[in-house]
Amino acid sequence: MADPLIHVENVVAGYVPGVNILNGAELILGDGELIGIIGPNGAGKSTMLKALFGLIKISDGTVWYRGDDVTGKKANFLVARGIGYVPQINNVFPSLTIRENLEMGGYLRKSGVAEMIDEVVDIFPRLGERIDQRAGSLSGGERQMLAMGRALMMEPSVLLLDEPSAGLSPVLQDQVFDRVKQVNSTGVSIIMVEQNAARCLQICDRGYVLDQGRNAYTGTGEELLHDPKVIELYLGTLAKAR
Amino acid sequence: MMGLVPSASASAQTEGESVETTLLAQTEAGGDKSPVEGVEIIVYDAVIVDRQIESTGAEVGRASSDATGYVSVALPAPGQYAVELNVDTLPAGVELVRADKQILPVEARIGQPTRVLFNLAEGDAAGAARNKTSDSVLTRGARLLFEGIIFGLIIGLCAIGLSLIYGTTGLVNFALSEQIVFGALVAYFLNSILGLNFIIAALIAFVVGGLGSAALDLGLWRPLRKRGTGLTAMMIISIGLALFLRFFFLFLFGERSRPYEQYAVQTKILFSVGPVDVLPKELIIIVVGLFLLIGTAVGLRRTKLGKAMRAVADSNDLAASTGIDVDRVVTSVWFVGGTLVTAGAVFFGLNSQINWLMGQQLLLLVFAAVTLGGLGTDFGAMVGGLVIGIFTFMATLVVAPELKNVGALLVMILILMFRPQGIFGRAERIG
Amino acid sequence: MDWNSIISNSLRSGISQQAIIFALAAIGLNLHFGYTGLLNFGQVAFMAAGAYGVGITTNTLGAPLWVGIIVGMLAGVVLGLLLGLPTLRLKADYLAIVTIAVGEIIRLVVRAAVLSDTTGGSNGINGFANSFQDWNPFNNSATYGFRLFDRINLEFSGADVWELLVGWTLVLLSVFVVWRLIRSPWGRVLRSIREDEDAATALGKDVFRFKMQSLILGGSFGTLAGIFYAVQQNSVQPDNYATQQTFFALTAAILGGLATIWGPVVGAMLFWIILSFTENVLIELIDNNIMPDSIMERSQVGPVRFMLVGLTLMLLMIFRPQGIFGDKREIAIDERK
Repeated sequence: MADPLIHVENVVAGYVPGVNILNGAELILGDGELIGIIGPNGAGKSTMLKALFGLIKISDGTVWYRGDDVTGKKANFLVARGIGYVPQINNVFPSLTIRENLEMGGYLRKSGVAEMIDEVVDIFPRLGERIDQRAGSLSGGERQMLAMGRALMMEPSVLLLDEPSAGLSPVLQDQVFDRVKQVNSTGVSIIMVEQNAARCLQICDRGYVLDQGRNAYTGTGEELLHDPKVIELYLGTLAKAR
Repeated sequence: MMGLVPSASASAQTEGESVETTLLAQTEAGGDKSPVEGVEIIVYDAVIVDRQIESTGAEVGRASSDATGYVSVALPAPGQYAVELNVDTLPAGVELVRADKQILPVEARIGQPTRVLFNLAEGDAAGAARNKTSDSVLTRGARLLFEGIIFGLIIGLCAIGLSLIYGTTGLVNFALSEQIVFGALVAYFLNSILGLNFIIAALIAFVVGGLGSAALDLGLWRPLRKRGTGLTAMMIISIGLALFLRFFFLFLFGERSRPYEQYAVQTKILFSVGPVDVLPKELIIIVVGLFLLIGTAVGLRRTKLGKAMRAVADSNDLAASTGIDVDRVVTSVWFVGGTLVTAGAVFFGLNSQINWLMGQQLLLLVFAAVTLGGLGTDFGAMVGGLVIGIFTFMATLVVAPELKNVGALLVMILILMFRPQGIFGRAERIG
Repeated sequence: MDWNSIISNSLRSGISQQAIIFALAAIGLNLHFGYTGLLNFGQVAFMAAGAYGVGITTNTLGAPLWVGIIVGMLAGVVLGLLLGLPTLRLKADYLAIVTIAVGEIIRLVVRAAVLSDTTGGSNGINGFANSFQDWNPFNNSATYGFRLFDRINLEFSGADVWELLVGWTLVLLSVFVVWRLIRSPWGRVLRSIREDEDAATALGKDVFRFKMQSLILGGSFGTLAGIFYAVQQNSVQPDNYATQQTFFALTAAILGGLATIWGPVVGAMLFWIILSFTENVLIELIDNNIMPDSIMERSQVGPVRFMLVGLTLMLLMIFRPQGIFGDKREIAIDERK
């Protein structure tokens, strides 16, 4: 069997030495997959993304990327290797224009930045309309689009999205999830962390439920959506009604 | 006497100090000068602060000019004196161009003559010259505005340097004052000691100043950032560094002020704009200063590295996660900041003189400029510098020159009270 | 090398009037920075307010010395109010810059020739505190003290003993005041502000008021330092109130240990012992031609000892920010993000 794109193996990590948020988390991302990580507050969902993107120190376990050990590698190394990351907050450069934000996304590109901007604008037409305005003037939804667009500038194989729908109105959330699906359909594998668990699982191929820094459940999006335990613990009665 | 501050009095008693001048009068507007004989100059003890005579004491000596216009008065010791031209002894028709320049401050150097310059002119030439420099508020204002713009460019250069570094690292760098002195000293060494042409010396100094600044980042600030040292701690460390360097420069350089060799004597007026005479060195400052300021602004917006600098200033973490090598960008910022600061320093030394305290004299005004414009914005720092520079000079129309900095500092405090993000800063940057 | 005089001079410096002045200023800075987390870089402004308050009241207005001392203290309080109102709501680095600027404004104004009728301009004010020596119960022509091991001279004139007695009494009183206050509920609020201003606000504390009280009280110790300096020297000189004085006092406070009761006092004593020791050793080396003039002349000793101060401040903040007595967890230097 070929190596998975990303394999997070038994990772232990935290922000402060001695206080671990992740306690042996596991994750596998196959080529072209869209997977979701859900779970209660403080379960370590965002920490998982940060650990695998090298933003926090991993004290135990391994992160594999295309069969290579990339544990603890710095962000600029991973970006160059094809992993893009979109943080939850502060995910645009407010004093740079939208075009400049996208250019920064392609910082490590040797060439083709202008062409790539055109491609990103094709996916997110709203960005094209305001291309020379400061990103600080964008709305929350637009910032999320820009952040994703910026991550796409490197034509990544993998995109890590940290709660892309956070703080957005339901209409905008729908738009964001549509875009995520659309990006995924162009062949980019995606790991998405979400509070909006039900909505997330609807578009995901597979989902991981994280609790207290460990995998509680895994399965396809459909399976998890209809798993009574998952519904009771993490999706709530609202999800059942849907 | 337990002085906490090193005393400013000269220590060594050496033979041969004197004040000398050659009295030449302009015979026609823009024309030649001829020597003036038999004019008396009188030297007094004095206290001089910021090249202004603060008080005068006992007479030290007097002498009259010879046929070549030369006159010299021996001094008992190096130190501070006031030199007066006795206008009653001027021959008929010859006048002092500026009545307020009848008494000049002198800081006599050890063991060598110190030159002063009295501006004399005959008849019509005096009138023409005086028209340019007479005391009418309008013409004085114009001249002060011009000097203020030049000073503003100097402050603006330093302010952008400070602002860039603050923007990308969050560090309020008190050692900037000594980066100023360092840059000015490098140019002094190259120009006055090695004898290089001033322009070449200045250009080399810009690079050396930038490299020194980048070396500080590599050797000190980057390791501290890696250790997770807090910004307040780093600010205090920068104060320690400033004290160390300041007294090291005093150790090396002594207390005396020195000019750049090539421009020690005011050369002829290049051209005049209305009442404002433009000297060659002033033209250099304006042209090169504007070039650097505009170049920096354009560079920050048009080049890849410049955009990366702005991105890092917006957010270190986000910049890192887009693949920007933040450490390299920050070191580049230190280089660019150091270069700009050095340019400001060299121009300040060119415009007045170099001494070990010049950095301290500038630092608070640079802070004022940056505060006025808004921390972290290059355009704001530039405009803030110009406003502070012009304000400082124009203030002398209404207050004593020795108080000119007070106004600028008060403006800074008022701005902080009512608009802490500065005039061009955005509120989102604060807090 | 005359080691007896080197050691004697160093020890004398450690308890000298200068050490007293620095101890008082550092006690104030410690209350500001160590206990409250306020970055006051203009302690010298409080010193100048006190010194000129005394000088102007007694010399220019002709009031008795004790009135001058009261006016001096009040001047410090007023300065604290003026300084605090615009700045205490701002970020820490703005407070730092404004306090430095105010210190420099005061120095520039008092040394201005246009005000020399009131402040004496650059000559300062002299000879206004003669009555301080009139109150001296010691005999000025006698010497007091002893020789340590028969060699190290620790004898002082009557005038010195009187000044040192008054000065160290003031220091002890100040330490006592800080000690009581820090153990009180008021002191706990200050420390909670240093740890987390928002949390203190959330607990219903008027953070601004507490900061203001801390600024004024800590400033008052600086004012006291300035008054003592002026009275003891019988003179006020504007250039003794330059920006770097604050940083020297801050170095002393950090050396001893911020957020400790005795740290600033011990720091100030050590500061002057080290400074004096360095100076005396260098001078001996030069005078005995051990240090050739090509490396260093006597006039360069002053700069070298202040280079040492800068280096000390840097190294302390890098390697031991808690100083000698401090507790690293108590130092409010990594608060800012």
